[in-house]
Amino acid sequence: MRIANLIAAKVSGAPSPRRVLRMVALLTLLLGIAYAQSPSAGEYQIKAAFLYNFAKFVEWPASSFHDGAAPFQICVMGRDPFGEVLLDITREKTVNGRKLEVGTVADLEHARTCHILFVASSVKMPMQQIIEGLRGASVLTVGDTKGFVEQGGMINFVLQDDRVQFDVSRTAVEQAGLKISSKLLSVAKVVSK
Amino acid sequence: MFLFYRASTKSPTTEKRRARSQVLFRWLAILALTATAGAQQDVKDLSEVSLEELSNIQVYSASKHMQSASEAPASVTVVTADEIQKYGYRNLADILRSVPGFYVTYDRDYTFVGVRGFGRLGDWNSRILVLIDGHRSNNNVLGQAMLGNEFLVDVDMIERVEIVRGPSSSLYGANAFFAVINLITRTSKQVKDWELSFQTGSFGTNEGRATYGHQFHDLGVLLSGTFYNSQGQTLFFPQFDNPTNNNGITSDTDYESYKHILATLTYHGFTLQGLFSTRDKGVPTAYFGAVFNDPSDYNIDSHQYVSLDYQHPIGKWQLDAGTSYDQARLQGPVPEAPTMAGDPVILSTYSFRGNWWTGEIKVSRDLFERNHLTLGSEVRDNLRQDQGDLLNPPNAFTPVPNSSLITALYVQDEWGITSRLTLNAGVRYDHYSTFGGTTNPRAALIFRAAEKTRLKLLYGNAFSAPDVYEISPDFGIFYNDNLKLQPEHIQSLEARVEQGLGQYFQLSSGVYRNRISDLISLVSVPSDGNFQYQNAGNAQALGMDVELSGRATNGLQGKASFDYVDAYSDSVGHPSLNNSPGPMAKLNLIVPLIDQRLSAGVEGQFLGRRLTLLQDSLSSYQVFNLTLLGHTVGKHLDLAASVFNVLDKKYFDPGRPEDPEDAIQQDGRSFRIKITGRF
Repeated sequence: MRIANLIAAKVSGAPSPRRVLRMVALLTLLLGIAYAQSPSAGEYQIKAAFLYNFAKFVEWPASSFHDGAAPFQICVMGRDPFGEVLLDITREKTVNGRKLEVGTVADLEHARTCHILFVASSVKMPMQQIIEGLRGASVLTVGDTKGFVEQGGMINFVLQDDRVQFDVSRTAVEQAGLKISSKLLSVAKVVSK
Repeated sequence: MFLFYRASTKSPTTEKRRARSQVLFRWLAILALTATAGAQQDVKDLSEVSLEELSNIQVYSASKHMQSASEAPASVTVVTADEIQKYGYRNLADILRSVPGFYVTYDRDYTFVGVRGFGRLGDWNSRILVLIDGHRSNNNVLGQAMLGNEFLVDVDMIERVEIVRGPSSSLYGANAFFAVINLITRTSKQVKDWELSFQTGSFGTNEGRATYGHQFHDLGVLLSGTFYNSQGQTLFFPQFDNPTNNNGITSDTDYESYKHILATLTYHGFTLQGLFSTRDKGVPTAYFGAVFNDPSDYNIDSHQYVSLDYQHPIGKWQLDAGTSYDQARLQGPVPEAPTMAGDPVILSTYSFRGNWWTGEIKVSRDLFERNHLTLGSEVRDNLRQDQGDLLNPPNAFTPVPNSSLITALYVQDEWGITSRLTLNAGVRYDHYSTFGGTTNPRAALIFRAAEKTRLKLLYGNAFSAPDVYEISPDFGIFYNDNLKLQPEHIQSLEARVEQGLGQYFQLSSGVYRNRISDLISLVSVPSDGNFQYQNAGNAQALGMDVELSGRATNGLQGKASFDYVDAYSDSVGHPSLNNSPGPMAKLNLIVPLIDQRLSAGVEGQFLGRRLTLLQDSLSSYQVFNLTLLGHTVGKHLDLAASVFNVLDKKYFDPGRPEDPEDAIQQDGRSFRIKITGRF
């Protein structure tokens, strides 16, 4: 007997499409139950959410605000990678009773008035120059480039295993007169002195 | 819906098909209901998410690609490096097994893929296009895309695979017939200095890999080498169950070894890539009339290429130019079984050598608001497409010289007619020095019905150029040339719904109809009784698919899909095509077990009945695979353990025309352990 006949003889009713459908429906249900919270998101959606959290978990000296009603300013330097997402996430939000404002800055003169300065990877200006330009101002510098923290930046985003992580330089943060909460430090990937 | 009411003569099969389309209707109804239900749900604001959660959300490393997947003028699946690791995929074929609409057959030499009900036995994967970083990997003699262990790249070097179903000749030309598989390899940015990996598994299988990646300022360097060796199994083929053939038992004939080297240098907009790949596989099936249980029956496939690419903005234009040089070789000695008892065994070798040069230039720009134009041109000069003479002494390659030239022009435009409606249309003209010209259009209408709802209507044409071995077969004196052979054509129409369900799930479903004409088939010529490849026959497929996928912040992710295709020949009585499973179902689930340090990857695949070449029905089967992956903090060390075909299911794939077996048994349960270190 040919092998194919042997096999044909063994076939004892393959599952009908209906049974397969039921199987898929069941699996779908199981998957539904299995799934916990939260989806994946775009890289810059997450980074934007982190910026908002930095505003919450870092303390700025009162002197960095003109008055009690002055807004909290998040600035982007260089080509803005966020598009609408940073605006969306900060819209109608407050930090310590202060409204959040988002804008781009082109030069360091204006950057000094920011609370958080996101230095986009497109910025070609040497880090040394940025640090010099911000000296004495309480600006949290957040980078998106390899080596940002090593060159004197405060917080730097890194992608690891498809997740957004960040490194913190504690010294750089404290030198600017900012206080960083231990909660934020505990989430950081690398905390350098 | 109109897809299912085609005018046709009433026959029992037509009735059956109508009944089947009722099932499809019901699915569509359910789908439409869930789609409307899902559209009303809102997105949870990321600003409400805790810090810990934020740092745990998986970014679609391809965020822009995933985005483009929903905007893409096709049905797209993306498989990431993370999934490759967590599911324990061993080669590209393993990845494709998990992809909706795809099924894989293995003849214990090469691995072949069927897409949406078409898996022609005798085809050399020439109806799919496999790109490595945009570089065409199908060779220029058989049009063959390598998929199994014969594939050119170590699966661990893949960053991401994008699988695009449906015809794409309007962009890529030949071979982009049923699907385009574009894999993006890892670069220096994704490898931290040294990475060493070793694996050992069933059937005396060992594999080692060393990879080095570093970014020296602007210069990115990546180098990787892989070595694989497997003793293979002792196999039983009932076909040969007689005393002269060792009672059908063959050992030391299933061996396999391969070597890969991949080097990628990046400097500003330049990418220089070099690839070397060679594989040696014993053939236990005794195909092409070989002596059974003879280890001197094997194949050596090799493919090397060097490519240089340049991407740069010029004013408002984005320029993408590239050139590459490929060479592919096959050497396949076959110890021919003597026709008369006592005659000596003659070792005849089929060989080919292909050399080709490719030049490509593409420019794109925003023409006006919401309008993106792409123009491109490609030249492929097939310097050599030589096949070796079968009747020559072993390993003496006497080439039958052949060469050809292909030139192509294409244009594509993506136009946001309104903020919700996008038209994506393109056309490509290819000119072949062999058969002349062919023009292939594609058009897609994408309607954003709601924030998370996309409706797509897709239409496309594609062609599969006659390959050299079909125009001038060099398999012996019983084959005639056919210099008038024309390309095969496919016309495809598809409607899809892509729906985000809440924040965790994505549902995708579609119905399609494929019509294939001028199928290149091997026919017997009445005048002299010889064989010849001719354009003979048409075929059709009606199908639907539905896929639910989802992922959570804690690493839990998965997908479940169901496909149903009815593929049949247009000849009298509409006989079903062979190697075409009606239903297919797939399940993939990654479950994090201990924090992010240990995960389990579970896969299940169900394939419906398939007909063999002799019209026997192969039993449907389910196969489950399991992989446990653990790693140390900082990912300095990974340890993975896999069990393939956990339930030890005995199942068969259909044999090919050259195989003496009508069905070939597949691997039972097997194991693998893998350790990877990073320094």
